[in-house]
Amino acid sequence: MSEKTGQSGPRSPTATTADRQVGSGGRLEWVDGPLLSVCLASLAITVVAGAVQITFGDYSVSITEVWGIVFDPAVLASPSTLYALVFGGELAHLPTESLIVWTQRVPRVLVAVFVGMNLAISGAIFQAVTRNELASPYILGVSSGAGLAVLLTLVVFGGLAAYLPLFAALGGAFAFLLVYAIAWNGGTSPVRLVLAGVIVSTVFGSVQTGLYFFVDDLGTVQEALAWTTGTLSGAGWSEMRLIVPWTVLTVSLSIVGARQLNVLLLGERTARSLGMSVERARFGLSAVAIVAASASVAVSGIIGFVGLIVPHMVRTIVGSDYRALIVGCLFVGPALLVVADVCARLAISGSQLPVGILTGLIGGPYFLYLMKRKQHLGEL
Amino acid sequence: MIGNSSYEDGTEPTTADDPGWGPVASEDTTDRRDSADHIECRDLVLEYDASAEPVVDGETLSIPESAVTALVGPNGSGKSTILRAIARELEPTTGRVVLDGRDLEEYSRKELARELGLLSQHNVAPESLTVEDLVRHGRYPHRRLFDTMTEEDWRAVDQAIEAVGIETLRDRPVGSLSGGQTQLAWIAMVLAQEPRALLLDEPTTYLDLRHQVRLLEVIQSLSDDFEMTVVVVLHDISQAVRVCDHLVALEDGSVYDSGPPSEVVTEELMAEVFRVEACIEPGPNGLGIHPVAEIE
Repeated sequence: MSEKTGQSGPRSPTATTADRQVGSGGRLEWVDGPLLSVCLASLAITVVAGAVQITFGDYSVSITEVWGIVFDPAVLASPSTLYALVFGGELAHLPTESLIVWTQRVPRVLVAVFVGMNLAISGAIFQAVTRNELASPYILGVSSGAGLAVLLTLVVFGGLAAYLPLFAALGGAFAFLLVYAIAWNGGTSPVRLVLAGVIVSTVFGSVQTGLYFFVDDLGTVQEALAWTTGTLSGAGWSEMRLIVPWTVLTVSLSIVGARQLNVLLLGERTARSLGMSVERARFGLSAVAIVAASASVAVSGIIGFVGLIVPHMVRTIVGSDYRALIVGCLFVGPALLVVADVCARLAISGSQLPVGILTGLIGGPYFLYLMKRKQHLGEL
Repeated sequence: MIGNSSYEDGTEPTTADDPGWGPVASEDTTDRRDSADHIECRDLVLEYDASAEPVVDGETLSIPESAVTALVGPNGSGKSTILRAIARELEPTTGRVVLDGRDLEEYSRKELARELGLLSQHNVAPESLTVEDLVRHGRYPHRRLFDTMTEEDWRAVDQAIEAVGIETLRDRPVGSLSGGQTQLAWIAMVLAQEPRALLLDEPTTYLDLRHQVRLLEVIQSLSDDFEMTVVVVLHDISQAVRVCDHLVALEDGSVYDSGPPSEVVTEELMAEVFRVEACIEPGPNGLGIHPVAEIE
């Protein structure tokens, strides 16, 4: 290169160089209008839906009363009460209404926010790594692995139910490793990865269905069903404690990895010729996506379609630059999941639907719409 | 205009036993007469499948520095395979590739990416990616994980865009470009790597005639104006003759002949390598190759 630089005397940098260095060479050059609008709109939707979620419910508390409780100085201004809420502790001094708002409705919204973030970035990463728009934690076997692990724990190792989240995550990671191993043939390709994902999902799904025949207890069946369809009912501060640290990790790693994801989008051969160790990058980024997916499976079960739809919606608005895409996902994912959870919880008075059913109902038609509109569905 | 001068005196005989690439007698290449070989392949055995016969069996060839070398031959003659070995995409079973006197295996990935640029035949980029953003990816081997674009990076990007003459396409999304424009944008991306050698795998295959001509001119200007070593696989021998300073003709995995196109391209070569009866005549614009009939 030095020679080339030396030879290039007459080709002085053009005028645009200077302009661009000022305007768009910086660290945040990719922040633009569409991205900001997506983030702000999603934030507004999340806040409104969250407010609805906190305000209404089977236990009837009046609107003014609810918001009196939310901004109750006895909670907000009391470090010991906040600590007891967030990290678990004695809350007996709070009235029932306060307890319902602060230990059920508020954390449920927050958990939905974090689960939404994780599912969205997990899907976004998997889509870049496999260069397949249809990829998601579910296609690549992570969900079926987690689901099987959950069912096995409930049916076979009933005594270990307390470790359910851990097993879910391990199952997801195991399934993905299996998928990767099957797809490996001196390297992997997007097609091989997706096919391997289908193979593993099919086998795991069959085993999962088969296991239901060995369950005698109806309660266990219901619990298993709730896990495999995905639900946020019962999500509280302990779930928050579980998911927040992992979210910090996955979000920061995915933002750092955004440029690698961008280069991966140029295809394996190009990425390699640009000096990237493709397998290492792909594996490391997949690991981030697995952790993100498993963390959400561990607190909320298998919520489908979020990881598939959100990156897609964001991509149509902000474009394919992963630096912007990841950030967009961090806002749109929570918005979608909080809205879906409001519908799941409040749609049928007196009973709650698993949120996974709602996301499925939103996701299916969305994909139908995409199929009709786009000709090359699946190609990134 | 860039492409025509090299073959004016193509008929001038040079010594027959001239090894490797010989002098091509024309004004803009005479100063390369003494330059060293940039890339050497020594006793290269290449195979995709250990059980099958090697695609390339023990070949030695050298690629001169700052010149355009074309690898030509019929389908299956091993030209793309050799290119893949030079790009370190395919590990030789035995033998080695030497780049600048150093074994190819000794280079780190990023180090190699700063020396060698590769353009594949098929390229994919997200449709909404702009040409400028695509070209910026070429700076990948020069940047570390957290680096932003430096002045040096922007200079390389601008220069690459200018070198292939796509300034007007700079802010267009890649998805909106024609095949030829896309190919030029990708070449700019590879140029932004600032490699000293550029490997091109059948770059003209899917282009219309106008863009083929444009691309060949760009290729030639890379070696003429930027002193770049270019290795290009072409299946069209007239294009190869038009663009290259050094020609390597391959037949069934072995080097049939190599040297300046004016010496290598003969009626005999056309018959033995390409199985066509052809009439070769030097003209004002270089060698004219006129295939007449297929040889059974």
